Amino acid sequence: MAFFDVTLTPAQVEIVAKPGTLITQVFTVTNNSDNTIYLTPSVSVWQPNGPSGLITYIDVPKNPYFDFSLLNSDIYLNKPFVLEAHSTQQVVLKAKSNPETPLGDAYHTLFLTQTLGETNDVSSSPSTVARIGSHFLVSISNSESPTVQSKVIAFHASPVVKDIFLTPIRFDGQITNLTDYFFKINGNLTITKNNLVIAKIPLSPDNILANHSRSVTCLKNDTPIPCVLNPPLWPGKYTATLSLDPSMNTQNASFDFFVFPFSFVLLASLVALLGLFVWRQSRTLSKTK
Amino acid sequence: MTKPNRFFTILAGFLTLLAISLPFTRFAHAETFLSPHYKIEYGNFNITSGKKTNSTMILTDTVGQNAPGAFTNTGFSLKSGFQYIYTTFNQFTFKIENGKLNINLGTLVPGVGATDTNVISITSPSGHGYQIYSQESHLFRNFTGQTIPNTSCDVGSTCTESSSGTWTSGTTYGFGFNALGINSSNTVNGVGTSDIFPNDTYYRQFANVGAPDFKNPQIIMTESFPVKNHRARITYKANIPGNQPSGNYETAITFTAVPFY
Repeated sequence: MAFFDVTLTPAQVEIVAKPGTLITQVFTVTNNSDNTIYLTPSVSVWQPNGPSGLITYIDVPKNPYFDFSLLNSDIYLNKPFVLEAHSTQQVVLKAKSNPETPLGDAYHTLFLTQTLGETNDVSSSPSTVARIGSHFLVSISNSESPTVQSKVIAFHASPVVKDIFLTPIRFDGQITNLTDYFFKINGNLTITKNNLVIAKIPLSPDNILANHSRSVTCLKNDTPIPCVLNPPLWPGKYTATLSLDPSMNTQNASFDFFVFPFSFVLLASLVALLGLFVWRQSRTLSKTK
Repeated sequence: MTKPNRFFTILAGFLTLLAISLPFTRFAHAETFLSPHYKIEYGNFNITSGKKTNSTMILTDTVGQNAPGAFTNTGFSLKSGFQYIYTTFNQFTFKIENGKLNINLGTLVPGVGATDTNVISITSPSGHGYQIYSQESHLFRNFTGQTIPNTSCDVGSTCTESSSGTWTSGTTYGFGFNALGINSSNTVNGVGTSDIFPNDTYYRQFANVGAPDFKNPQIIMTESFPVKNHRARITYKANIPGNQPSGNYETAITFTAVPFY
């Protein structure tokens, strides 16, 4: 039995709008628990925190060009509403941008914070409360598809010693968004050897926010995974290329790496040494006789 | 006499056809939004839509939608059809599992550490990881306003709201917590938490967002890839020295879950 079990849909909304536009978005909140709960909707501004997709709300100034409210007739921002057990409620968020809003992105989260009653105060409660949020990414632009530009940085492979058998080779890199508008990564990681494609792995379509970087991850069965090339591999020279869709205005990045038969040479040396040892032992024995 | 007969024949045929077709009638479902000034209704009449895959290709389709596609108007971009829904229409679920929201450490007795636990659970949307923050509304305090400070962990192993330290000594006082990833059988696996709390001897302070500290909420569990029902056990711990009045102390802990963008 759970005392807080809430599903919020959608988890993220991405919108392109002109300055001065009124935007409405429906969020659906479901109380999956057996208990009536009280939730208080609120909106907070955030910014990206590092290249992995983390965000922070700390010391992020309020965006003065956006005015948020709810279109619901009976639910208001910063005031609790009741959600019965196993019931669903639509929360219709209205975001009004000022006509003077500078072109560029604005990132907000719609929060639903649990309160323990009809009052908004949680600080007098000897207990835990939960809060769930959904992101609201808006690009303020005069064009439906703002032009973006990006570059690939820190593209490399690890470990340093690349063997034909031992460990997978992992590829890491970041894409930096050089513009004021977020976009989704669209491209591939291609591994070639002697101009023959060994592997072509699609990149995960993660968002890269305005003037920030994002680490690249690969996609397998629609699920993001680290970009890796699994052994066994033939020894030789390989080329890794990060190629992005032309719309991202990025130069492809590539580097060469070599795979050596370290483990094979080590094993062969050990076998040779063992053979030599056995041969010497047998010679010594025969001389003694 | 001939005309009425023909009329009734046609009417009977029409009614028969109507009667036959009724069981096959499907009712339309529409959405309604209400405000004090507006009522907006719309329906989605697509026949079929979805994502089909085989070993070589992925096909998404929307059949029968009135106007599928991406459209722009003055100041707006509208994406209509299944293809434009599935990528963003994802669910995010956060749960406090074990049937209680209160932290029950009982009546605190000097020198005797008291603990209580909660289990949190998270399901993140497709393609996105998550992060969970924690904070306390104020220091742990009793009804007379006397407070228990947040723990600094054992001597030689300092902890703060943003760094963990070991807390095993019975003479280490204060209030703190530990979070450990667990599987569905409640066995510790450290998933999502091992970088923050290496094991169950490591504790941290809750970030006190109230006076006098005004700290910022801190991440206690995070993963960069999508997850389903990943769980963590939160252990709250308090230990008070002999000169601390025993009794009931309280605070409000808030756990905040948001997806990666």
